[in-house]
Amino acid sequence: MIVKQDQLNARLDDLSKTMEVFAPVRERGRVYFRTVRSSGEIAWDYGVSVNSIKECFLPPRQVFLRYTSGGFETVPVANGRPRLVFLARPCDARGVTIMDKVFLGDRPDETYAALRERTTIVGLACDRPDEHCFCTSVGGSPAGTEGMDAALIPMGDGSYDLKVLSDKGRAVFPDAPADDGAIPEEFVRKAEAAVRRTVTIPETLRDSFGSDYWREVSQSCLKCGACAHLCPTCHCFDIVEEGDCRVRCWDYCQSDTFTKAAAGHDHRGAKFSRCRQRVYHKFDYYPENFGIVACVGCGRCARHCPVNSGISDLINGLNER
Amino acid sequence: MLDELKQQVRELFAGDVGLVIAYGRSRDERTVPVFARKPADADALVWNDRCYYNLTRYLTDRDVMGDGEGKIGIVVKGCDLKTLNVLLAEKQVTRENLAVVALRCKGMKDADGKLLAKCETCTVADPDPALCDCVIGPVPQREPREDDFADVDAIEAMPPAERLAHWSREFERCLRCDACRNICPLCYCRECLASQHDPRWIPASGSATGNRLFHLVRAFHMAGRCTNCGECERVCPVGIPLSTLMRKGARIVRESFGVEPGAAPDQRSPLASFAPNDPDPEEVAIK
Repeated sequence: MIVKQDQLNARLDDLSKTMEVFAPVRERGRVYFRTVRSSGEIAWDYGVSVNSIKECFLPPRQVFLRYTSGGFETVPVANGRPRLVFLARPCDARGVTIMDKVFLGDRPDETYAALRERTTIVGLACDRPDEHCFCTSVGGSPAGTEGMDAALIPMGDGSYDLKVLSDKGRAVFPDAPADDGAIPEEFVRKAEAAVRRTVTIPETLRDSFGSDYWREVSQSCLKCGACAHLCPTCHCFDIVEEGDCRVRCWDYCQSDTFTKAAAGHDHRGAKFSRCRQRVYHKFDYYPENFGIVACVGCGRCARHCPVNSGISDLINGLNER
Repeated sequence: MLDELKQQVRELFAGDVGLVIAYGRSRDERTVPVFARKPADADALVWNDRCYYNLTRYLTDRDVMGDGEGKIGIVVKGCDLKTLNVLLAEKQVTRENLAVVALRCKGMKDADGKLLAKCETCTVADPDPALCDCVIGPVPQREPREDDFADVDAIEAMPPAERLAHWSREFERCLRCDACRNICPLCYCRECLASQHDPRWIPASGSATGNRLFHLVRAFHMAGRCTNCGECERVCPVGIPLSTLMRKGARIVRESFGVEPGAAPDQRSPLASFAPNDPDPEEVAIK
């Protein structure tokens, strides 16, 4: 069903009365996913946002319990309103399905499951990949709909082709027809051709564990968390005591304290081993555990790496050896 | 100029240098820090307007320096030399262990091709040969504009509540990814206060209190030491104007003690040393 921009605006303004809406917003020239109150705040023309939508499901900081004089009380997932993630790019929506493998598996994570349950994801097919994007190399597509409850395909004239993909999507767009057919082949072809970077995961990745390559390529790494914090699938967390609270917060595997154990031992102390860990977790351990690569090719790690590295280059370099 | 640089680096290996930290190119054609370990590695070096990295950062990186490399060669710009001076003054590196190859610089550009702010006001484009083993390149014809500290003034002009609101808004975006800290050549503490688990001085999670505390602590640790290389602001994924914060500290120190950090290799930080003519606290007017 073709919808016009003003129809979408009106629908969103209506939805924001009952739902908490996360959408791309331009702040100081960069685009972030933020809570919005009206359609006027939304940056419809964005490419890839700085942050990913993972923080809607795995918040950077989440209070689990508060200590009281008599013991403690647990803190329920705050704010029970239904939520809408609006205009998620296909890479980001797919990232959520990858995190689901961990958080909704045999022992579902209560908080994640609750946030996931009451959130609807409306995606936006991608017509503006940049030089760091490589979704098509890792099983994704700029026209992919994995993880979406509804999808909008930009028609290039300010209107969108709306596809409803689930019951949740139907609840958001009740007027859309039931089966609206596939995404136009022409759009898919053009969008996929626009993704210029290719990344080839070597079949022999596992054999490279002991390679000198990791020492060589990790030298410039700052051991910061820019890549992991922006990554739509990196989900490692720490549980810390902060004042009177027990808090779950993001952690990152390059950090000096990530593998620090009791008595100060660090079994992954060297920089190269941390760099290698990040690659292996995504491209070896995850496929082994869940049958899927834990990378969606959004390119954020390369785009924002302080020293212009990135997982795409790390993987491709391995092929050249 | 590049050929001369490559030749110079090759010659370093002929001497007792085992590692040269320089600029090179990644597979995807971006300018990156590289670590040359043999004469042939010099062939791949680059020099262009994206060599914004302050490579002195790696001189205290134990993962890079750990293996008894022998003497270290390092490629620097005039601005990086200031940082090297601070590292020397703070005894983090030994001059005798270094071979300093300085490049005369026309200024570095950001992703949009715009000259970096620090380059517009640069007065050290032609590095002092007394501090280097060699200086390469033609003397740049540049007329730097005077640093007017307009960004700092704009914030000082705000009433305190507004100022707090301004910085709270900026820090709200902070992911606590540590990129600013980890790229900083002068944030070399082996154990950062912000990373300590027990006690947890600064909340680990991204929160208003934790973020503000983190940046405040960094600003205090940097005042009188930061040479305004601007790398913290360049690498911040969420664009926090960290240089403004650093320059605020720099201006207070300059006005109070008349000191420009990194001016000489034996110049100690005024906040880490005592001089009989230091102003009394009440004489230091901080806006």
